[in-house]
Amino acid sequence: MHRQGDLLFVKVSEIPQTAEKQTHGIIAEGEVTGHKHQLSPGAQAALYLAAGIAYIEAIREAKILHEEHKEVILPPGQWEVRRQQEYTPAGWRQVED
Amino acid sequence: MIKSLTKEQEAKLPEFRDKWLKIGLATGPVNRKAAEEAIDLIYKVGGLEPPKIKIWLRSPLEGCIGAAILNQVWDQVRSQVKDQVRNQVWGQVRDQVGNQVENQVRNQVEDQVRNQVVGQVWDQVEDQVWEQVREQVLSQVWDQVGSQVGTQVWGQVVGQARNQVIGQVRRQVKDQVYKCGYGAHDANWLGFYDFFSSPDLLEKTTKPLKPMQDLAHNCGWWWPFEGAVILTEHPISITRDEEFRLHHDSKMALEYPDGWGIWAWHGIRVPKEIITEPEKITYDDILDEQNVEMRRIKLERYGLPRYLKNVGAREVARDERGVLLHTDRMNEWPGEDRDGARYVLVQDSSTDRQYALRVAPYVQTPSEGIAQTFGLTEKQYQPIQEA
Repeated sequence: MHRQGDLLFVKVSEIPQTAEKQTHGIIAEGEVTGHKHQLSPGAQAALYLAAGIAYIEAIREAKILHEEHKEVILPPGQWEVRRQQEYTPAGWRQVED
Repeated sequence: MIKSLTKEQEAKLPEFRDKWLKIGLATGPVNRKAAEEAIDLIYKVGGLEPPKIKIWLRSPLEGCIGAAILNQVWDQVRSQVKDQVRNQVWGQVRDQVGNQVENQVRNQVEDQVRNQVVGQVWDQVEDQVWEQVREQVLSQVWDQVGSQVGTQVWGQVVGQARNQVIGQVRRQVKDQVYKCGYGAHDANWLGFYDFFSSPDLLEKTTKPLKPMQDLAHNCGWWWPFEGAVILTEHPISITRDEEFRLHHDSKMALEYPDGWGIWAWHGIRVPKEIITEPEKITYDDILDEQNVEMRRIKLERYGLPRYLKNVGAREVARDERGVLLHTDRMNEWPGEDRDGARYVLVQDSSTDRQYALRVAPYVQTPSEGIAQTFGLTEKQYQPIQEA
C-alpha cells in the first residue's frame, strides 16, 4: 500500500476483465491545480480503467510522478488506485484537489 | 548508438537545465525580428511557405482569441469572452492585419488547413527528431538527460507556468489552447534535444529543431496558419515561492503586458480577492467551500487559529497522523448531522501544507478518520510509503 496525496495504491490479485487499457499514463488530474498523478514516461507499466476506477499493471517497478508530491515507486504487480473521499452528511464525496 | 555520457557531457547537464529554465521563465520584451526569422525557418523546415502575415498579441489569452477569430469560430467564442477583452483584441488584429487582408485570411484559413499545417510542422520536425534521437541513444542515457534536463524543466516551466496558463485560459476560451506551439513554454523538450545538439552527440539529427529553439527565446505561445502566424509576448513578470511554484501575496504571480495573468497562492490559481482582500474572507466562506484545495487556501489566508476559534472547534484526539477536531456550530443547518461535524487536520507529507478533511461524526481518532477517507479501517490503512 502506497500513498501519494489523495491517491492510495492498493495491491490487488487481479485487474477486472472488463478493464480497458489506456493509451496515456495520467492516473488523476487535479481540477483546481491541473496537477497530475502520472506514470513516469519510461515506466514499464500500463494504466487500466474499469467502472471509473483506475488500475495499474506494473511489469517492473513503476514510478508515479506528481508536480508537488514526491515520487512513489510501486513494486511489480497489479494495483488498484483509490481516491480519497470526504465525508458529508449527504454521503461521501471525492476529494477535489 | 550513444551508450553512455562522458564525465564532461554529464557535467553539462545542469548547465542545460539552467539555460532552459531561464528561457522557459523569461520575462520582458522579446526581440520580434528574431522571432519572426525563426518562424520563417520553422515553416521552411516543415516544407511550407513562410507566413506573410505575422500578428503579435500580448498574452496567451489574446492569442487564443486571435486564433479563434482567424478560425472563424468567432460566434462560439463571443459568448465566452467579455466584450471589453474581445473588442481590444479584435481592434488589434484589425489594426495589424487590415480589413482586406483579414478577409483574405478568413477565407483561406479553415480548421482543416490549420490542422494540416500544425500536423505537418510537427511530423516533420518533432516526431522525426524524437525517433531518431531515441534510436541513437541508449535508454539509460535518455533517462539521465530526461531526469536532469527534461523533468526538472518540465516541473517548473510546464508544471507551473504553462499548465497554470492553460488552466486559466481554458476557463475563458476553450478551443485554442491545445492548437498552438508554446514557444518558451516548450522549454522542457526543446532543452532535452538541445543537450544532444552538441557536435560530439547528435548535432545533425537535432538540427531541424534549431529554429524552434531560437523561437523559444523570443516568443510565447504561437499559432501557425497557412500564410499567417499569431505570435505572443513573454510575461512582464513571474514570481514564485521558494519551491518554484507561482506565488505572490499581493499581485499577479504571472502577468502579461495586456494585464491578463494569474493570481496564485503557492502554485494554486485563486480568484483575485483571495490575494488582494484576504481580510474579507469569512469563516462561512471556508466552511462552504467544496473544493479542499481552495478551502485550505482560504483557511491559510484567514488564519488557522482564528478559524478554529471562530467555529468553536475543540480538539478531540491527536495522534501521529493529525488532529481530530469537533464543532457543533453547524448543527442547526439544514441537512446537517445533529452530532456536529468532525475534521481531521493533517499535514501533507510532501508539501507540509495543512489540510482539513471532514470525517464522519463517530470517528474517534485522526488515524481512523484518514483510513476512512480511503474506505478502509484504521487497521487496514498501513501505507508503507506516503508522499
